[in-house]
Amino acid sequence: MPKKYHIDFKQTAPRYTPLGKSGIIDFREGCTRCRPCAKKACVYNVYDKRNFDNVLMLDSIDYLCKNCFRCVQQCKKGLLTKSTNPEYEKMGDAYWTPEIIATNWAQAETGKIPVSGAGYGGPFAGPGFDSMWTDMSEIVRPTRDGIHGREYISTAVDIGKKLPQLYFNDVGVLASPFPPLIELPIPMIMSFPSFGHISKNVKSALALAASKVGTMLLISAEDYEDYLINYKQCLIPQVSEEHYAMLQDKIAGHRAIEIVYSKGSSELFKEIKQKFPDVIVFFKVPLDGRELEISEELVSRGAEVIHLYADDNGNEIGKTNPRFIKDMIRRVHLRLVELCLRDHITLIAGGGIAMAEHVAKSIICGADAVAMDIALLIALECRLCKRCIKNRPCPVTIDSIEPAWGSQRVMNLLSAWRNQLLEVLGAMGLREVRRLRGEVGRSMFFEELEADVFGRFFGKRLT
Amino acid sequence: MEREFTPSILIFCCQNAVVSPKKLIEEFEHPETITVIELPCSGKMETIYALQAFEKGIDGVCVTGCREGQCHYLEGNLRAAKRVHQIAVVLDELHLGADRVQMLNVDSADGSAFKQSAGAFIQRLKTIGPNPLKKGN
Repeated sequence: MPKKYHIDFKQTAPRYTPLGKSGIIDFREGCTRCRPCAKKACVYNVYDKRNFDNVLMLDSIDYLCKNCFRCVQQCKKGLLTKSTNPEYEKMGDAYWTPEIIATNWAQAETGKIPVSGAGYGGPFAGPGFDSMWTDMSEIVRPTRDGIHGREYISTAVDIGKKLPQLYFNDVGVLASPFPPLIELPIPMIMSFPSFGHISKNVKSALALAASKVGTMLLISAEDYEDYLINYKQCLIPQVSEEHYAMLQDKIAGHRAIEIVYSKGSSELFKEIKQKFPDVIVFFKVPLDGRELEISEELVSRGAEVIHLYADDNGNEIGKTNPRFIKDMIRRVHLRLVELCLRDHITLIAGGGIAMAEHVAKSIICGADAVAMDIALLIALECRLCKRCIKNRPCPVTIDSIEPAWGSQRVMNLLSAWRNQLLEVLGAMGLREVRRLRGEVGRSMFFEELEADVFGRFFGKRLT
Repeated sequence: MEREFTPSILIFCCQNAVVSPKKLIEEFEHPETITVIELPCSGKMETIYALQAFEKGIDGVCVTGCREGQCHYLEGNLRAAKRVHQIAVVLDELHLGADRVQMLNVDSADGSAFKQSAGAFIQRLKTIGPNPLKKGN
């Protein structure tokens, strides 16, 4: 039996105390020092482990506390109060919520699927990816012994062009030319976010993680420095027309290259393909309303991979009333299916991929793989304070991380995300992620259901 | 000519006393030297928080709480005031200057009051001068 693909995860503690959800207000004055002290009764011993982080000015108790409220209830003088931590609540933005950041931190620390008890208390549908429900009823064909059992669930995807049919010559030898293909073990590639202190260490950490996991890292021509040359196999340099001259000599040896789409990029595509026929060429296309025409045009010109990207929050770029990435990918995917061209191209979706479920949901909407960005920075302890945009120092000094530490954190996150993808696939009765692509039959869309059920009474939704 | 001294300050801010203090701070002259830590109540601030900050070389610490009698946790601001006093005593003993720490009681409805009193605190720190424990001094 071939060796199973596995991402090595290892408990990797954060360098700084993470922001905790709870805020314990401890009124020490008035304490009568009674013997059965509520603080001693803490089953998680958080009061013993309590420490004050004088770099970030954080009380570690806010992070350690598991919110069992035992101390609050047991203190006879009522000196302990719990509240949410305002610093935690103000982290991130409306899309990258504190919960998303905190769960990604936990996954990057442990490499395991986050488990929370006591059911789900949140709303059943929301904006963005939350308006999608996946069918995980496991009635199709449950695995015999779980997702890590004997029945192998593959998360590998093929990046590149697939042949619609094969031709053989008279003696039965394959005659069709075989286009280059990359098999990635996970449907996630990595890219750099639009902000952050992306130092040498951060770049090395991500490249190291990409090479260990076997996935690839998109890197812009300016960021591509000589020390990364060892990771050539897993790097996808991004070039625009003006940068091509700069990178021209370095392209040989890469498995893929990305062209930032512009009007004249098809000329560049031809040139690269002529010189390097074995290099797979990605096209980076913004989701700004023109993605359908551009995709069609690129497919007709023989493009192999289209990397569609939305903004950081998964919204259409440059629109006041933007559509969400899942709807836009679905449109492109369906259009290509209609034209019978879907397998001529690989679609990669990027922007707003914040959680493991977003991977599965993007793939259901028609992407082959996703590009992670900000989530990788979160794995390196980013708090999305965006002080880096204002050229202020990073509170968690991301620029000075150890590459080994950083790559392990990123690998932990990838491992946790992959395991969640396995859970989804296992629960759907699917044996490989390639079959999940465009599989909308295994999902329900809130907007469609609402229009179906209530539309006939109340008409179209106004927003 | 000697460059004007810009004090680095730390503000512990009760979330109920000041609405979005980080935005208000941006309007100050040197927002990059001001660190704002929002707390659920000014009573969460412990003396060790401020003392460790002074040890690290911060020039001044300011604790912002609700007006007396208006604390959401009933007496958090009173406890904070006591702790600020305690910090001041320690600072005095260390000859760092008791003036480096201050308790501000402001009304949440009045953002300008916070700006005014924090501004006055920064001015005062400018006259006191830098923290002798700061590295490089």
